[in-house]
Amino acid sequence: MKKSGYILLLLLVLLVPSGQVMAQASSESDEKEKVDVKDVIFSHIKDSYSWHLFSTNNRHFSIYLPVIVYSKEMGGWSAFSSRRLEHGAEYNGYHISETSGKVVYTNGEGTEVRPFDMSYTKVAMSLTINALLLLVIVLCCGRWYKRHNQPSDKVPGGFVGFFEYVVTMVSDDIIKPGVGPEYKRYEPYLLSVFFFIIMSNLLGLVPVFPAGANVTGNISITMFLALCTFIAVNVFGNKEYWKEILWPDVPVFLKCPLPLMPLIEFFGILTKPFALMVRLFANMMAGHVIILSLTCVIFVTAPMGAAINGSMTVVSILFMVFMNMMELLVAYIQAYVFTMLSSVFIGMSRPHGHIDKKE
Amino acid sequence: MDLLLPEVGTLIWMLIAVGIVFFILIKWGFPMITKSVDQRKEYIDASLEKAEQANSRLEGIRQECSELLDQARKERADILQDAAKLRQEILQNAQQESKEQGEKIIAQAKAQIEQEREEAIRSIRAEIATLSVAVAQKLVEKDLDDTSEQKDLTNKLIDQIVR
Repeated sequence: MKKSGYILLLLLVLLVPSGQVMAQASSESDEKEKVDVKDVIFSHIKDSYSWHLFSTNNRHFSIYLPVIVYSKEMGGWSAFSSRRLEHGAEYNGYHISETSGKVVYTNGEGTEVRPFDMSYTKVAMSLTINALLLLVIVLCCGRWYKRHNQPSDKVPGGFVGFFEYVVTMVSDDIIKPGVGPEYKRYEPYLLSVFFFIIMSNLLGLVPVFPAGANVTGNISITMFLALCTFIAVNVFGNKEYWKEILWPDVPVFLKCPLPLMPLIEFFGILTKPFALMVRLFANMMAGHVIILSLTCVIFVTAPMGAAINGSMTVVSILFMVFMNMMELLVAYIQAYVFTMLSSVFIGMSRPHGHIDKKE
Repeated sequence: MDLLLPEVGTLIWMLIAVGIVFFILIKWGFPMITKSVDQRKEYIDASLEKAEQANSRLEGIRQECSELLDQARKERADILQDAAKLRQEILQNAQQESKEQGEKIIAQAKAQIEQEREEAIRSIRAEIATLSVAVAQKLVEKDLDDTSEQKDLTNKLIDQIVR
């Protein structure tokens, strides 16, 4: 208790002068230098064509990623560096829209039209890095097992042991109870999903390059993952699964003249992956937004004087530490929940004598 | 609002990057690990079972051992008992024999003593006879008139002889 009090005091002492400096700086500069919180947050959580690394006084250091667009009107494919579109510049007829922040071109009527855009954006690069990192980790662990392929060999220690612990934990706690007797077939897929999500979640919390991008808080990513589960459920679902959807075990009037129950069941097919998609997206995005907002509190309160700024900085940092801890937990929980629900949905798609047993 | 709209470009990159990585992971990555873990699990199960068997066998051996030990103890007790009995018997026999022997020896000794006594008596008698003859001779030689004197003389003579 006493210790934490000292830490608080120290923080206050350290932070008040810096707040003063900031306040001075802000009062010296123009009023228009105000922090646009919304812009700061949205520029982080949204995708972008370049990866901003850091800024010094007047210079920004970014990685400019390739823009790859296709439009019939503009003469097919074109690919160029996003450096050419910096600060609203136009290149090959393309520019970055002020309103949407996407690459657009202006057609004959003067309206902005989006081309088919498959630029290698920040999220694309980040997910590539995450995926490759995951691949390296798993294959390195796999190599250990290849070298120690006798069952009488020692149990792995260190990182491989930790990884094995997590793998068996996911397998025994989530996949086996969720999927049921046929879990072996789906285990690699579900493990891959779990580790990809948790890797992306955790790397999203690290604020410096090459981590820090909002990958799992991007709806395209969660949509892809949900689609994978959708395919795993519906393509490999057995006969009884389809029977339960098309001709469920309910009174005939609920399904015969008007296919009420089949309709509901059919929507169930779609809502399950949709829920998966939105849950992961919303949770991860919200976490990023909260942490960024708390960071912005420091800069927003800078013009309000040293006392307010100093105390708010302390509060903001305390809350940020708390939120980061929370996000660590959420990173795990969301990966856990996604995998668990996926395995439950897969398990539901392969019922065994469920109907016969009931009757 | 466009935050909620999926991007086709991102989906395509996701499909390429994550698709390839997932394919490798599903085909080789995770099965390698889970297979090893399963194998080890089976090995551990088998080892446990073996240990259980060995234990039960050991238990059987231990029981056998204790049975054997019990038997040996019993046998030892029997043998000891037999030996004690035998000893008793031998002792008894020996006692009997020694008793008989002793009796025999005593009897012999007694007989010998008797014989010797008889012999002694006989010799004494002979001696007495010779002595009496000698006394008589002397008495005869002397004047025999007084019977009391005779008697005294006889006694005196006997005393002399005996001494």
